[in-house]
Amino acid sequence: MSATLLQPAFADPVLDAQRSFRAALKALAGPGVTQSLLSAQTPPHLEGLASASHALCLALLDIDTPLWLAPRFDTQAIRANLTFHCGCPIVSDRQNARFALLDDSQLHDLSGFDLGNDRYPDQSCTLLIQLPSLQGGRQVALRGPGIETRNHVSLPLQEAFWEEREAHNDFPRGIDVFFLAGSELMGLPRSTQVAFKKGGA
Amino acid sequence: MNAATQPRPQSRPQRDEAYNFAYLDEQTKRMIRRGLLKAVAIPGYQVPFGGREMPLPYGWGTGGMQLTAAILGAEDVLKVIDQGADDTTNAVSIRRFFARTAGVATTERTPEATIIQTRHRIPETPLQADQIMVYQVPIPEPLRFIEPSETETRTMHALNDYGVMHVKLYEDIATFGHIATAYAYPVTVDERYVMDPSPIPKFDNPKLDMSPALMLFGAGREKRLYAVPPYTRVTSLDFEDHPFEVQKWEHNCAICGSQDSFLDELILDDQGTQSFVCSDTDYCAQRVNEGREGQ
Amino acid sequence: MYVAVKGGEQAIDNAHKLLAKKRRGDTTVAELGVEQIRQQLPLAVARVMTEGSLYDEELAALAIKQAAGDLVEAIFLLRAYRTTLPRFSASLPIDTSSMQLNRRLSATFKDVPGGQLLGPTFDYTHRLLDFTLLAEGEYPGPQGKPDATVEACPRVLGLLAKEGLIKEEADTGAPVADITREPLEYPASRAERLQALARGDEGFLLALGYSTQRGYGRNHPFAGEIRVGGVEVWIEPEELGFPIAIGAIEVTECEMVNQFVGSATELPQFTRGYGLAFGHAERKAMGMALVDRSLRAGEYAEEIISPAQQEEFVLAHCDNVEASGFVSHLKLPHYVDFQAEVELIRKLRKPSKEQAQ
Repeated sequence: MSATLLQPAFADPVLDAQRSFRAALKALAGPGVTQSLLSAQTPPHLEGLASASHALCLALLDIDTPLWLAPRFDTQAIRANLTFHCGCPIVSDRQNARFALLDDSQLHDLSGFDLGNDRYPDQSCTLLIQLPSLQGGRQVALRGPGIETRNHVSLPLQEAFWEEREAHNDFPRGIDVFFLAGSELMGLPRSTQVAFKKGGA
Repeated sequence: MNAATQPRPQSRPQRDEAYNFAYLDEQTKRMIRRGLLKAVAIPGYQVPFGGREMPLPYGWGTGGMQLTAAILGAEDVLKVIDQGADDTTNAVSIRRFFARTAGVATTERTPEATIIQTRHRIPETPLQADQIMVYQVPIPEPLRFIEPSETETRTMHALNDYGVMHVKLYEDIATFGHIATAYAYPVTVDERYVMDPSPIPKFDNPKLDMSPALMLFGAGREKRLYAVPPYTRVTSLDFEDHPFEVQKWEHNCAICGSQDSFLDELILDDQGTQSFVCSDTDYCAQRVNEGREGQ
Repeated sequence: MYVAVKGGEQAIDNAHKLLAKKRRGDTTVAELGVEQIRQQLPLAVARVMTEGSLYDEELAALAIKQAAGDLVEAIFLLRAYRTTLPRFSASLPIDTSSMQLNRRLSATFKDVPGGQLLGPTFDYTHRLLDFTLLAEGEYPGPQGKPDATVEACPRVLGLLAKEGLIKEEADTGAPVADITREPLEYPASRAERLQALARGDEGFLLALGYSTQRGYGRNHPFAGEIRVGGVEVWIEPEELGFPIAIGAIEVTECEMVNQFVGSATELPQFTRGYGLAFGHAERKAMGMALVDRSLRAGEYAEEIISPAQQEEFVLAHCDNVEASGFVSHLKLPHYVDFQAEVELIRKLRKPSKEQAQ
């Protein structure tokens, strides 16, 4: 591993990790609402990762969280930096991952990730899905815990993603997702129900 | 902008640099944070976590403290209550702990707080979006007093089989004519998990339903944490012919005259003369500030 | 107007001052040194280290001093300190077969290879108060050969195993969970169980072990071997690739030989229970071994009916830091819940009062 591959991580490892976590907590507790990270509190640029993706990795991953990388993120720089700063094992098998970093080329197939089991539904994999933007797609309405009435979102996602999510959601088992773009993030826990607007967006 | 995001200027205590920010090490915080995210994603489900020994005894709020330590940031304003009061000894002790180890601003005012750690009460002042309640939980398993085995109760939750709980409540009705549970009254979260709301009086149960605040629950000794996200349906268990109802007092608060807050009963003399005052000391003080008073 | 207990802040400060005063006692008497506790109360230090899960004699002695001799409180102090320590490495399993023995006994054979060594023990003392200890400074000091040891010698149960008379304990090589990092789930692995028992309260394990002797989950124990002595601790740092010794600790190990099992397909064999404690702590190691064996009831298809056989019951209640915390929390104010109960009981009594009139 060349030393130049390594980038610095959070400027303030304790408080920046806390701020990133709180943004993630708020995102998951309010599905469909965009949360933004302040640039002063995100880590320096790491090639291939949005700053929100990078921040969440640094905040949540460690030696106890095997990570699965979609091919696009499986670069020397990302491997080297996440291994160095987080100490997370990088696994090639989806089933063994507690976190997975995906891009939009992967969303037609969410099979293989651990959904937890009925006794321990928390033992499921969390998906970090990096998108070019959190807008611009077909509008869907979200309902469920964390949402007062309905939240409308227009994530740039193919139909196939929603079908895959549906197919892998068997509450309390299921998939929890963070969508990440630039310095923004949005949460979609398994408890959220999705309704498509009639006639499309 | 609401008061929670724009706190009044507060004097921030000096942080004791001998400990990590908010005492816990970063790996422990990450473990708890990951657990909290799962708890929010599965409302009412008890997530096992590797609870640590805290420098306070188990049973004295170590679960709530670990959660607070994991979520707390430099910008937060912390309020700690026990029995609704900010100045009870254990509340003082926990507030001091975080003032010392995190150097965060603390407050007694409910609307000013971003995080409220509590034992046994939910404040009377309505909570706001962006506030986080952290509950100290002694026994997180609502079925524990019916079925002592964790293996069994976990199966019941997995199968969504809460028959034993309904039988127990119905036996109460048969014996006493009422459901004989006054606190830690079980609730159903989003029509799925039966959850122990911690030993709050059932008077506070309705405040959990569709609250704009995030509710986090921590049981340190039992090593479980769980959550109710904002705007989540939380219903107290009941029967059609015996609907859930909260206690009502025939008295008003002797200090502020409140008719709708939870009242503590005080015995004033050897003859047993009673007086009733608000359990929520901040709520009571604010009413007095607004010029209200009791008889 | 009466106001409920206020001024918590001042009260706490005062309580701390009074506690310091009580701990110090009469200031005309010399203050107790931590080193004195470490040297002269070694069995208390051993218990605090064992149940505190931290081998550090000095800190254990400090905890005992700070706790004014309350060992459960001292264990709690050590645990709370331990929890914040960084973990550099996990040691290799200690090898008790190569223990530098200063006490060793087997109740199962009259003599065993390597011999029996009584060592420092209360066992054959007459429990008569020794008034020479009261006459401070006049105790003549240890007599005889206090440092007698025997060389490392084979384990008694190993001799039985050679003949196939006792179940082999094979290392499955499965990763060992750490119950101080991950919550205990049921059913627990034996490794997790042993960890919980090693941290468990001596009195609780003693009483449960005793209950098995009295018939609540009887499993006919014999003290196969008890050994007390020093063992080396080795670690194998990844960057080195070979193990290095980092020091030596004193431990007490107890292996119980228990009731044999057998079936149509398997010849009868003895079974065993295992106990291990830091320092010299025989009562703890024996209690632990008895309870370990009784918790293996399921493994040997024995009927599980007694408290000492019930894993959840034993493991969920053996930790004295958890137990004392939860019992002591009853001292915290509960007036809100009590008020709710008072209101409820008044309400429940109403109809019957009316009926009575």
